[in-house]
Amino acid sequence: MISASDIAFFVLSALTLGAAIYSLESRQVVYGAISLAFSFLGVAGLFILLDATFVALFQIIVYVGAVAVLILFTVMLVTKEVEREARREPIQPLGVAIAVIVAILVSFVASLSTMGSLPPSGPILGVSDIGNLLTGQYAFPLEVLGLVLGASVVGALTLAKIDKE
Amino acid sequence: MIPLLDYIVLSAILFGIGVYGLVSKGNALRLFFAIEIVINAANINLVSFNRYISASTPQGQTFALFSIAIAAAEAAVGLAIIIVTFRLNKEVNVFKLRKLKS
Repeated sequence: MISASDIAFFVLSALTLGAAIYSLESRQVVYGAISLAFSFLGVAGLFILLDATFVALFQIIVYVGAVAVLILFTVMLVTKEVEREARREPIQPLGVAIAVIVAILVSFVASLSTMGSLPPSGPILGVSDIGNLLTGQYAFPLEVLGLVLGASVVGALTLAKIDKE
Repeated sequence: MIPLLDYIVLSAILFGIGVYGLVSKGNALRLFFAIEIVINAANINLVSFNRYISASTPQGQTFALFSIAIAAAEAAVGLAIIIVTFRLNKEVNVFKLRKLKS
């Protein structure tokens, strides 16, 4: 019996994996950047399927909204001529082999343990639970996170001012 | 309902795609894409383990939020480094950027 969540899982994982592969193998980097945004969107859908709506919202706002647009602007600033990038790089057999070995090993080890067939447990958590945890137990890490974000923005601005003498 | 193993296998495949990009690509932007893919695979693991093993506390989701925010900070700095490298060397292929080697 195939339920709706199975179909949703299949479609979302196909979108995520396909877009991720195309983002690395596309002819032009611009198409790869757009495809990467679709891959992020697929991951957000998987988060919704896992009842983590707040993380999915965060994923869409930060990744699809901010990081993907940042990457697109960088691609436009960095790509010099279309012709040179247009030819496809040959697929490296060593890279494919390493990737397949890593994926199969991790999947095999996970299938050996008994946790693989666990049903989802407990109640579905709302945004307020995450908010309580963030402002209670994790209040100090949250402040440090804000500092890190601010420092990274200042660092990026300082880097952008470096110029050839 | 989807078993936990499906999510682990999906995340392992996504991680494998990211590792493939990291070991076989020369363009700095593609390497950056691969890093983002690996981070996303890790986030799927965090959230799915949270849902299936200890769903009464949202620790895994909170950790995924922190991970996403750190990835955003990393994206800002990484893309700034790529832009500066391109402006100084007119090149983003990491196999041709070997000033430190000579």
